[in-house]
Amino acid sequence: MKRKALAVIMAAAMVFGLAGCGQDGADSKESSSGSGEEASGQDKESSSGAEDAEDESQAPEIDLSEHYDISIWRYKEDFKYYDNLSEQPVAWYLNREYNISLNYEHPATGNEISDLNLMMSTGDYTDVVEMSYSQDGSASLYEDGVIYDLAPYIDQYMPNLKMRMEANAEFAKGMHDAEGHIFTLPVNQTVEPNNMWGGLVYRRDILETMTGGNVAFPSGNDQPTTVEDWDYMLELMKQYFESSGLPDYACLIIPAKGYFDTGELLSGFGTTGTYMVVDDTVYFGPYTDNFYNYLSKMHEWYEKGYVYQDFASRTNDIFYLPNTALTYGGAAGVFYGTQGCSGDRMSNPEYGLNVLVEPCSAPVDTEHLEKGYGIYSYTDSTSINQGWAVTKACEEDKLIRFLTAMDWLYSDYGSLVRSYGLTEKEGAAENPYYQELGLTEGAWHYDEDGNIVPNDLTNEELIEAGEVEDLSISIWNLAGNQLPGMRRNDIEFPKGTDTLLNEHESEVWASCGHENVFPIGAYLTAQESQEHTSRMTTISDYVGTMAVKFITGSEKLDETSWAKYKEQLKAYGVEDNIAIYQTAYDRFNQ
Amino acid sequence: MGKHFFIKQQSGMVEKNSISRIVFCILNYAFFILFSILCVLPIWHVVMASFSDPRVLMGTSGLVLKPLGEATLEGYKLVIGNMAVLKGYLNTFIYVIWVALAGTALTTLAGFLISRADFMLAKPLSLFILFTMMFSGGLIPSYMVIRQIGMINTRWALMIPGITNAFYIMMISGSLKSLPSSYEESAKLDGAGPVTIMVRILLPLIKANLAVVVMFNVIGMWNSWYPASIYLPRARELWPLQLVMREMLIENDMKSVITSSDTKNAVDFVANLCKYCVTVVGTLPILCAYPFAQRYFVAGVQMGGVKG
Repeated sequence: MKRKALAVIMAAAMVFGLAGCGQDGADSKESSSGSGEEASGQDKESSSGAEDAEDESQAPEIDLSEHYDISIWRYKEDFKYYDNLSEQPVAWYLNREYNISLNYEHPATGNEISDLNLMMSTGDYTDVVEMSYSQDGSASLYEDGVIYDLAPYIDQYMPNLKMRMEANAEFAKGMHDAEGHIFTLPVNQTVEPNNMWGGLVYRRDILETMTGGNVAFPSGNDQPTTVEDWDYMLELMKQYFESSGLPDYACLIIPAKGYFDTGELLSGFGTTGTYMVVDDTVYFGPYTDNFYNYLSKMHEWYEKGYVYQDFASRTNDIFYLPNTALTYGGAAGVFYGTQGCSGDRMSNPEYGLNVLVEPCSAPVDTEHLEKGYGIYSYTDSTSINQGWAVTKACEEDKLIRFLTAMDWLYSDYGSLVRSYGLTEKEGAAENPYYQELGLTEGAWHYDEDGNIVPNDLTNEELIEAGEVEDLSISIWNLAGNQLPGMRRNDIEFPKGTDTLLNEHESEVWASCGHENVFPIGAYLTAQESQEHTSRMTTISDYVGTMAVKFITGSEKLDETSWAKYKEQLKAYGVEDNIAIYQTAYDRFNQ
Repeated sequence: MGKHFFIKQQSGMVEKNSISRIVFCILNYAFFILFSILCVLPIWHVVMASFSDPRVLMGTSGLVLKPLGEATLEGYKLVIGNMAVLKGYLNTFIYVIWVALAGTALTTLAGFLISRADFMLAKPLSLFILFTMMFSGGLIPSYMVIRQIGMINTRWALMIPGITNAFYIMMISGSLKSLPSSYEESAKLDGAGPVTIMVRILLPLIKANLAVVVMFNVIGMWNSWYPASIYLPRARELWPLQLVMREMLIENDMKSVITSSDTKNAVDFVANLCKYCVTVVGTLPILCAYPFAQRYFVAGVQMGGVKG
């Protein structure tokens, strides 16, 4: 009997424990709805934001009396001033003006894909999903009934976005699928950004030292631009490192898989790590004969000791941070660097390390090509798989309110607020972050000539206090650039040495152009995507493994082995995958 | 050799060491000293790196045996000054204390119950518990159950589902079964009930095993981050320290790619230093606690040698 009593006590303990949890969950729900009721108490029949939109196009009449909580799934970044985008000043303004609460839900960093997959597989959707980490693709989610087709709603409730689409056919094309559906709210850019975040760099100081300041590339250019130039450069670097007595060094560091997926180096040989387009025909880079030329040259450089001998073992290195002990220890000649590497910024004078780093473009394989391919990832485009999708968890009334609020960010004035932050008009003085930074008059204003001028340009106190180290970064964090809408580039920020160096880096890295990039707006249907993915993992693994073998010489690279390699890729279905991409490309161009 | 050594110990006589014994001792000590160095070296490397000059650290490979460049506390200032880390500590302590107390109590109760030979359901319950050791529902069903109960984004999502562990229950049950039945019979003759027998007679006898369960529970909870990342995605204020630190480490690696604003900066050397500081901050408390629990582990191992 007592044993039974003990079992009952155990069971009761569990039940009370669970009841406790339920109670806690209920409490949070109550408090959440409570805040909603409180907010809905505000009688909002009109909005200045809506009025602004009305200036530019015919805004629909929306009843703003009911408050809506809108949950948004989006990955997290380092937001500098706040931890959650719900606190972002522009979101704060939209909440106030449109009687909504944009509640961001940020998954744990590094867990984005699994968190999103879990959300999709359990049906526990947020109202809005940022699609960057979605592996299913918008078309697939729409077919499964997870997300809305926004096309009819945009037509009716988003006059500003509609206006942008009418004005920019390319922009509109990227938003639609073949059936005319629109699944996501995109970001539209007015000016091509010249802000690449990384590319190849080389140690110019080594060449200067070895030639006594008379660097003479065979091409006659001031920078290394051809394979012959690189032969010349890498040989000088090898001699330099050999005479320096460094225990470990690398003239050229390539990623562990033997090539950059992003196309650096490869583009000079007329190929890339993924898909590319030449004369409206889609190719898979590692399946082209130009890839053979690349591997052949890398093998030659590996044998000569130019390519880092341990590159294949550095599988844990992120490609943009290759063996930092070598790159930041002054023992690497050519490597991948992120923006901010060039000039003497990698020097460490306290420890006798004075370097001069210069950006460089991929070496053109002049033996086989007249010029390299354009692989610079140009981003002034939209895609049905990028942007914000609205799930069926969002009721239609809420959806309409959400779209109305977002539409303001596509208007001329709204896009300025989105890009540069709040002004006095939007109530900057009432926003806690603006108050904290002393920007009660807002982040920007119009000058007498109607130009847009950032306010904190003159705020020397903030700059001296270290609160505002870089104006453009501060503006980025105080504005609403993580929201959909239109991105503006109206303000010409003052250019210091770093900015000029960064611009030079971008100019060199993007010099190859983007003619051969597979367009970001060309999408795969759900079925195509599934078929493609089922083959691609095997293909990528095989290419990565064989590229390393060919470069290191553990597999002899000749016509026979190359034919065998291509045969194997064909057997894995590479041609079917290329056909899928060709279909997507043709569909995009229709 | 073993027998020879045994006689020497028992008799207390001083015996001249043979050459083979001296060689053995030298090799034995050398091996264990080397082994200890191998265990300590990675920890030493991380600690020394955490005090190093961040720029010099970035350009150095190999083991760091002393702080590189001018020793600095900059990384620790950033890590300890981060409110998320302090909150993470507090949360982890809450979870650890909970699992140490409630988890061990429930594990002991369950273990006691299924160890009773005269309990009719002991066998089916044992099989049921064993079954959960081999087969689990999987992530999605578990998530859906926890969501249905209303525990998502609450502390209970971490505190209830993992509160007991089938392996520990079987371990406690096994220890109780291995005790001579005479203890229990004597207590019964003196009028003790099941609770008295369990609490006052049997549990003190398996104290070492209980300590092992507590320690395993504590270490498991201290190192746990995955359940929190699944069940507390929208409640960052409830995250345990390990998840906070994981996010800090990943963000340090990723921010130069993901955040356009950050691409304007060169690589953040201090962020690289923080990796080491975060590792020290996250490991130190459990490392300090471990030696105090060590004697119970030894006792737990020795229990098997008790003669009847």
